[in-house]
Amino acid sequence: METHYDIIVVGGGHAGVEAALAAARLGKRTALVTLERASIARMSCNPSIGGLAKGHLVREIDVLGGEMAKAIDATGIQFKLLNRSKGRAVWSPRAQADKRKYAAYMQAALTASPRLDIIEGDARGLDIKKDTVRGVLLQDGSRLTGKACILTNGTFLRGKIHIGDVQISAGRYGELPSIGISDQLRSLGFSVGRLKTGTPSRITKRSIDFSRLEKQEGDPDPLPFSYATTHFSPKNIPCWLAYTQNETHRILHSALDRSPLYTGKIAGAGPRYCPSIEDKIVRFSEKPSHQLFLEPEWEGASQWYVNGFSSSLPVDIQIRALRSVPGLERAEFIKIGYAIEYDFFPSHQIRRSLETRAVSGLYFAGQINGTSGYEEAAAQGLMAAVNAVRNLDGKNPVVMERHESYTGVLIDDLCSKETSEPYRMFTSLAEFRLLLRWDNAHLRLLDISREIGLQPEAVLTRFEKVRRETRELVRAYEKQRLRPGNPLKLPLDRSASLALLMRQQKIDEKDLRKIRLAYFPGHDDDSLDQAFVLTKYSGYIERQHKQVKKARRLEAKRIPPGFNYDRIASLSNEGREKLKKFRPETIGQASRVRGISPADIQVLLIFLEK
Amino acid sequence: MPMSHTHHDTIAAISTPPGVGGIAVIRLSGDRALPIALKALDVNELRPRLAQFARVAHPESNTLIDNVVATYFKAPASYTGEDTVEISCHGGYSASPAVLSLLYDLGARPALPGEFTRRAFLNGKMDLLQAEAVADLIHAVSGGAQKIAGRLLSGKLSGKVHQLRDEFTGIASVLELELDFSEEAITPVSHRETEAKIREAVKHISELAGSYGGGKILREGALVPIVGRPNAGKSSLLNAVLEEERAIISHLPGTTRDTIEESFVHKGFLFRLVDTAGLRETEDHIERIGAERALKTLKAADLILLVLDPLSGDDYRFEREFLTRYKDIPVILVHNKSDLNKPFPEFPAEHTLEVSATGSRNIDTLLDMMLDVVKAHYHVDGSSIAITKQRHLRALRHSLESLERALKALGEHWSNEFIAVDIREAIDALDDITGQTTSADVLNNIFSHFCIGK
Repeated sequence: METHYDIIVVGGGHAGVEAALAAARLGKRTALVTLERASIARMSCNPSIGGLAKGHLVREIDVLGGEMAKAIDATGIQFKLLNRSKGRAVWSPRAQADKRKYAAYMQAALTASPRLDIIEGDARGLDIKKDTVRGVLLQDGSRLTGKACILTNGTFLRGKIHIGDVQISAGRYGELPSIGISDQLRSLGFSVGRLKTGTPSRITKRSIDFSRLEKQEGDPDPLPFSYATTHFSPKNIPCWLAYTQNETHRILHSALDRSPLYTGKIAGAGPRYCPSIEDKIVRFSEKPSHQLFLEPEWEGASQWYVNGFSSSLPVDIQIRALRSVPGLERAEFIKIGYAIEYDFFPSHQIRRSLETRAVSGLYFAGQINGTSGYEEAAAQGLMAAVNAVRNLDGKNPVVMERHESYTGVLIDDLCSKETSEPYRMFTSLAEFRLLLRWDNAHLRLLDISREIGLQPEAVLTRFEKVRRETRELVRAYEKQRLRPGNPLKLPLDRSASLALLMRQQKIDEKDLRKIRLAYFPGHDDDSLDQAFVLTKYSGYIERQHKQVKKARRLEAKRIPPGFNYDRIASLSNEGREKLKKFRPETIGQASRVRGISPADIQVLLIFLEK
Repeated sequence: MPMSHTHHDTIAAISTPPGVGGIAVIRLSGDRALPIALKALDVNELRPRLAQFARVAHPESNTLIDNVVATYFKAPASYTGEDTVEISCHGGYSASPAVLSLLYDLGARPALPGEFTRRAFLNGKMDLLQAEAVADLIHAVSGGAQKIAGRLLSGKLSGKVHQLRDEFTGIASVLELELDFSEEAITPVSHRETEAKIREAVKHISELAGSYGGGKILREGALVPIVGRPNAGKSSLLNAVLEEERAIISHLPGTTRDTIEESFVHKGFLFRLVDTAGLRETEDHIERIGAERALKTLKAADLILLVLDPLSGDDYRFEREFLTRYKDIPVILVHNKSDLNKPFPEFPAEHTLEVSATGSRNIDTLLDMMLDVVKAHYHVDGSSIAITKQRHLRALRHSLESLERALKALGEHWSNEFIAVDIREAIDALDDITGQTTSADVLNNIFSHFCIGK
């Protein structure tokens, strides 16, 4: 059997789903190869989408035409806007998901998509000729031909689960790992690294004593992720907070010699931002207690997720330790926590289009690039598909700059930084954070979205209207004066412009509706809000624009592909080695690679000057 | 592939000061330094790091140009990091230029100003601060200047800047912690604590910025005008000082015919003593001072010697007004003509000394006092790290401005991401000092301040 496709996506996780949907929607015959149809879009770890910086990514995925935002809006069971007490740029939406409904939503979206086939099978190898990918070989001997292939294998490549002394070869708990592809890529000269991540136990709802836990609800006035979502009135199902005790820590401590983390059985580096519980009690031994969040995995779930208790300690220890937590004394375990080690391909091997440098037509997205998180994976899956399609169509890839989007920051970081732990998005990684707000994703990415072509024109026209109105309103806020006895009933001694009052924090978000009714009745609420943010924070925003301008001088200086660094004697040895490894596309990118010194950058500038 | 000519061709220049001297050293650096040298010299080989005697003859007429000593430094163990040959010729206006011109004929090209150091920088032999320090070292006339340049060269200022940078990074991380990990059970660092840390950083930056005066004094010397009424003994004092200090550096007419500037080194520190004969005060009123340039000298003064004459016998109105006007600049009241045993008037001055310019009395004490006052006032203790460049000062000021903005924003309760912008700017400004983000223009500007061959 041989079946012909334009694009083959291997892996049905969050990267694979976005990749397959985008490729098919952009008109390409697409195959999604997955080990098991039912596991498509499964949330293998925490039951939530979004969060700090990750929420920004989801908004960008939405504007660019991805599915994640719509899926969580449709299936979320608790929504919260984080950091609301702080400035706009760090507000970020997060939702608790109904894992079952979320996966079902995505599976339905895939099924409904024309030009898209879901193929159950284990991809054992790639068909590569003349450094170009030609197709995918399945374990049953069948072959799919494709002009481009997107690998989104998650933690499945040579996955190995650790629970205490026990090691199991697996992709996820109870699911087989994938072996062939990483061996093949290794033999082709790809360098392969090893990372580790973990997941906590799941316990039964009936065994939790909620009377001893703190209740945590979502926002009473929730906001959706997607710009397309209207009439939003989701569920608001609470999560619960528990605290570890001295006794918990004592039990964990007593078994450290049985932890694969400390006995050296786990070689892969784990994330510092999401440490296992045994890691926490060792590294933060001065803390008497750690928070645990109890989260339902779906609406009415009997299975609850113990957020904060990820562990690879032996089963008996995990059970005893968790049962020492007030409220969880009678905890019944459905699944035990585990650590998983997996292969990834250090991302200096890909271009910013996410295509590998060594094999043309081969794209990597998600954990295979050393990232962590559903949102990071989805953003890469979307961009990999967009660029694979554009490659087939003879168009330049879409590469976003760091001042344009978190997605741009994410991919640029992948292509210029060494991966020493699974990469997770943080707002602090975006140096132009004030410009990359959750609320202005549509205005920032309007032009790029149009170029990509996944959004219907009607949506883009709506964004365009908001952008136009925002510009008008920024000027209008400066001109429009409020006098004593104004329609907003704002107590004033003398007249002042709307803009001034916004900067003096005498007008806030809550007043915008009244301002619209009184002065700008024809305008969109969104436009009023956008103009409000730009006005209130104008000083800082202007400064960030200046910083962007300064940085772009280096970003604009391109390094020709295939540049021969060996010909520049004056580069430092480490600098040369890093330049050859990362092959930065611009001087700006080169300047962010650790090990490339300022002197190396000056040398490059002088060489490229002419 | 475009190749910069600055790298693969071979450059040559005379590296010693122009003029008549015992020897002149020609430096030849680049890929072809060795073959060119071997063609010019009558030796078959040049061994690295060995001074070898050789003859340079004209290739056609075979007439002797000069007897020289040549030393070969093999890349990368050379000043520039490239193959380098240093040829010591006889000084003067005929031999060394003739050797140099032969090297040009053989394929070397004249070095541009600062090009040797530029290559050294590009070859990673030194960082930007060190490259600047080399320029200072070359121009250093006093021991103090050499010391400070030497410290820069050893990377001490770089170290200090990196230390400050670490401090800022520390502040930034605390700010970020509360933003990116607000969901975690982390007790946020209070704004007050952050404020204290930023104030600490402001203090450190201000100190470093404050060292500019001292750094400048070490590099350029302390400018010390001698002020006083006519016949107070200004010129005699100047002469007495110069008599005492044999190490006269120069005897240059000042910028106007009315100002005389004399430079000398006292205990390793350079002083530039200016006789402000231009201050021709009329009717004892300083407002009448006409000489604009003399006023300019006073404005730039690091220390003023105000010479008092016990014979003038009036109410010393001029001197009192002068002291009020220049209260920001340290002044030494020099009571001249102490040999006359006349009583001196009382003045509210910190530093007072009785001297006799004509009798050369207490002149060495005056010199020591000048040194002490300058050292104390400009915190020049000879061991601290000081900045010497306007460029460094500007960067530190930018950094300070950013920190001040951060403090203001904290006071106005802006949330952390805004303060983080200010801290990031403060870090960027520091990076400008070490060359992290310095544009090629700034670099070219720096390098163009070198003389040919340095």
